[in-house]
Amino acid sequence: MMDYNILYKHRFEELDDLSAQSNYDVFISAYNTSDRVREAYQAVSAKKKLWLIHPEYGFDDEDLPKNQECFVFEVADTESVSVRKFFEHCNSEGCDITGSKVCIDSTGMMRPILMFLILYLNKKVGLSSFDVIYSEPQKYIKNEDTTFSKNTTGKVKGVEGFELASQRDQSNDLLIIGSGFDDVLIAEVAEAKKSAQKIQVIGFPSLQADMYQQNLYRVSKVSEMGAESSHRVYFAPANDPFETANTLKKIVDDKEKKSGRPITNLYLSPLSTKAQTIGFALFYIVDCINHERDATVIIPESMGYSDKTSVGIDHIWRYQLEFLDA
Amino acid sequence: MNPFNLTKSADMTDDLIHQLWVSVDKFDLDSKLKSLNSVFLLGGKGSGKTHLLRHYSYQLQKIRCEKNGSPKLQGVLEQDRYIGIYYRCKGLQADRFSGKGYSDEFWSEYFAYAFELTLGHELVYLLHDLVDCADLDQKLSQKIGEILNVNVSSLHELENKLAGIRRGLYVAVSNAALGNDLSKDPDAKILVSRGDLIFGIPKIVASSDERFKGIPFVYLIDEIENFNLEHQIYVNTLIREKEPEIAFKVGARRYGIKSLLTLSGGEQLIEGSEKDTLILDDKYREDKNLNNYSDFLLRLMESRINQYVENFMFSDNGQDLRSLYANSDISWKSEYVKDVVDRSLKKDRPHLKEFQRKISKLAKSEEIVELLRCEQYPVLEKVNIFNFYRSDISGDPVAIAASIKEDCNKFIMSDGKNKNSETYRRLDHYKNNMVFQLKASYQDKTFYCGLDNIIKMSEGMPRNFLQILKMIYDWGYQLEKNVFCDNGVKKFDLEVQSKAIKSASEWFYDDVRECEDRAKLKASMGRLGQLLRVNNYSDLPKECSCISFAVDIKKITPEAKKMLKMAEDYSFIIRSDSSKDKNHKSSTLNKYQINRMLCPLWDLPISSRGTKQLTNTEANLIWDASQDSLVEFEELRNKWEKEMSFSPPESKFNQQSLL
Repeated sequence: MMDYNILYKHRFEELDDLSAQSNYDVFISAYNTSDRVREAYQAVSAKKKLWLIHPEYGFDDEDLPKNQECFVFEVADTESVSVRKFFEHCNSEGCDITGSKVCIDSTGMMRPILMFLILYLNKKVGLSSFDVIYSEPQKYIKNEDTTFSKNTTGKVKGVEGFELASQRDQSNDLLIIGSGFDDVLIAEVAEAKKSAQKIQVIGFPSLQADMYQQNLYRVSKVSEMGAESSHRVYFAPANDPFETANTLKKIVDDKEKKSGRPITNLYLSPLSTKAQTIGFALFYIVDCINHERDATVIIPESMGYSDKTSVGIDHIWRYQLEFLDA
Repeated sequence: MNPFNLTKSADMTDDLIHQLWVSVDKFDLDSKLKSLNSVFLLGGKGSGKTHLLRHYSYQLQKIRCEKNGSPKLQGVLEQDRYIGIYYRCKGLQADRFSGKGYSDEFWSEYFAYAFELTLGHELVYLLHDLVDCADLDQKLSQKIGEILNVNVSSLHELENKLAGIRRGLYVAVSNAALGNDLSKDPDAKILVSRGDLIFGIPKIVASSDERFKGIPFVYLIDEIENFNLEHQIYVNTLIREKEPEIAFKVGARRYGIKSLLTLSGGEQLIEGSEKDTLILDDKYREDKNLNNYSDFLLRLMESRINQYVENFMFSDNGQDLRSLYANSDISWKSEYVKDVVDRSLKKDRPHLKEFQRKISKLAKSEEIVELLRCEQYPVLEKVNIFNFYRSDISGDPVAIAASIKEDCNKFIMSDGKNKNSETYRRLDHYKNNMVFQLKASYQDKTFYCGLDNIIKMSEGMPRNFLQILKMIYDWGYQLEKNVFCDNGVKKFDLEVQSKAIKSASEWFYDDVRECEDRAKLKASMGRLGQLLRVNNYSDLPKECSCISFAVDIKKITPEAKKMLKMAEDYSFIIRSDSSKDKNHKSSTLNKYQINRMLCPLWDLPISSRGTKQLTNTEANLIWDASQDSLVEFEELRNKWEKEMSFSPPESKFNQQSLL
């Protein structure tokens, strides 16, 4: 079994350092108006840079970055269709990603797209290694009252490509929620898997010292909504996908040891930082797909997302994803 | 432990479903759910559909056999004489058969195959557990295996094969997201056709063992609202094409049935012949005096107390349960109301002060106030004021006040029995308004209490009842006013109940997360609530104890009609039987009542008496947010406030003219 801590991560204190140490063939980021997304895009060195435009941010054509290559996702397209269309577009433009040195900026990406993109690069394009960066904010724009997802539809959906739960026996189902500031999403996902045992992974250490308390405050609102979101809480650093993946592995092991039998269906719901979302994707691809576990990643559907949620860049992380078992 | 903690059947184990089961014999549901007729069992969230369907499932049949000490096969085949196969439709399971760049038409074939495998798998699992001899087990496994073209020698082996086939299909479907061609994936090869397993297995069982002949296989398909249109059409088709010994009982929310269409030439399922519809909460509410419903809920309560509270003694008539929840006396003699008024530190009683302010322009206003004052019975004092507001005071207001006082005195002298008095009639109609207004003047929020009122508020949805009891227990615990204790029983007081019921009301209002248009819906409900509040708290309510309204649905905008339907679907409003509406003969006039669970949000009474007929403009301003009519709505509310406020006429008796 893989120890994810052997994978490399690097912390850049300055954008200039990121600039100096990045030399990619392709850099893919998702546009929004947060400083940490736009400044990282400027700083990264790559032969080809592409903006993905998520409809959830609600940008009009005139809001989009000028003189930079953009690929606009369509509202009606699901994550797999969006990503496949994006790569078809790249191919038609003569940009062959196979064998390229690729970097993704996860900071502004919608979670289902980010997860599917990682899966696609590994399983379809065949990349066994690529980089993902994540910029930590100095603060969220309204601290604990910051709104991230907007207009949830109340529907919880499986992320395409991450839907393997199939067991008829549900007596030992487990839902692991990466709990961030989106309290409504946490309540919805907990409600959707009412009969599963629930465990929350809270980001600790948090990105900034005060964010831990803010996170707990938001999580506490879930029970006020009448949803039971956890039977137990684990912690994983909010900025570390590898430790997050290790924590998920530990949760699953602990649960199976304690119950004395395999988990029937495992549900994973990354609703916290993008760094932790990467950890969920990594764990799913390496531990669940490759070891034929009945697991599904579930995320509540929302029609909108705030385009500016944070102020400033504190520092930037680069995670080198390697799919050793792939 | 809070005995009412568990409010959702989906959270319960089979054992708990059994232990907490309360018979619904008096509602004539048993025969419908065991019969060979297919039934759509609809109902609001928390009306008890899942508990009911699970009660009829094999898992519960088995537990009942164990408790009775009868062998399960004998119990199921000879006593129950049906086999219940329960399946909960999960959106997640169904949604994977969509998107990924393929058309809905393409996916429908794979969904049908997966549904066939899923129900077939359930049935094989059940048979493996039920069948008591190895020969039959082997025979069944081989015959069913032939349908799937697999060689097996036991039902257990077949079960594993089916699990493998299902998993293979799901992996192939998941990988289709990467652009893999599903139709070329060997794991996605379709092995059976519609009904091969769902109808085929029962046929094999009946032909393999005499004991199974004539035993219905009842598919209990729960939460079908999670299936999309195409998936529901597929299930409808199975219902139409079912074999004689098979029945479907389909559970869904009120709004859960998206279509009655089938794949049989685009025809619809026919009500009465192919399926019957049973709306559970309507069924409970049909019981106008709520006797059977009350009895059902009291036994529900009893079953939970038995389960979780030690040494609690019950009497037969439910009086001891009722006595746990203090009731508020709202009679004209109410000591409680008098106490609320007397406790007020203010020298002048606020409601009298307000009255005095309103009649200040009248001559001898202080004399009028003194005439209408009735300190011993504040409810009557309020009625006196109301009578004054309703009187034609263009003549001599002092004489009118004196006449009201006389009428009130006669009423008191008759100990409230003088039916000819105006006071009696007003009290009969407007008591709720008077008491609510009076309490509100003194910031007393103990409007909702007493077990019978809680039963009424639950509106045919047992979960609402349990949720209120749960919250009362929690609030009691927080305020250290817990009543379930080993050394005796106290009461949940008015404060605890009112706080808890307000919380339960907020919970009910927020528990519509699955509704995409919930923000618009709540905005409309908010406007309706505000207007009903204006009526109920005004000097001159147009309708007494008004939580009902009537709308001519043919004349309102399509958006308003849609929102009204949505409010009904989510049980925020309840449609009354319009044919019984004597005031409005027009066939298009629909009458609705706000769900009593929501009354605390606007401090509305829970007794429904008057019905406010809304004009088309009023209805559109409430229900059609697209009209962008916030300002117009404010104007409407102001208009209602003005129309229902007392304002003394200018006359020779006012102070100015005397000067």
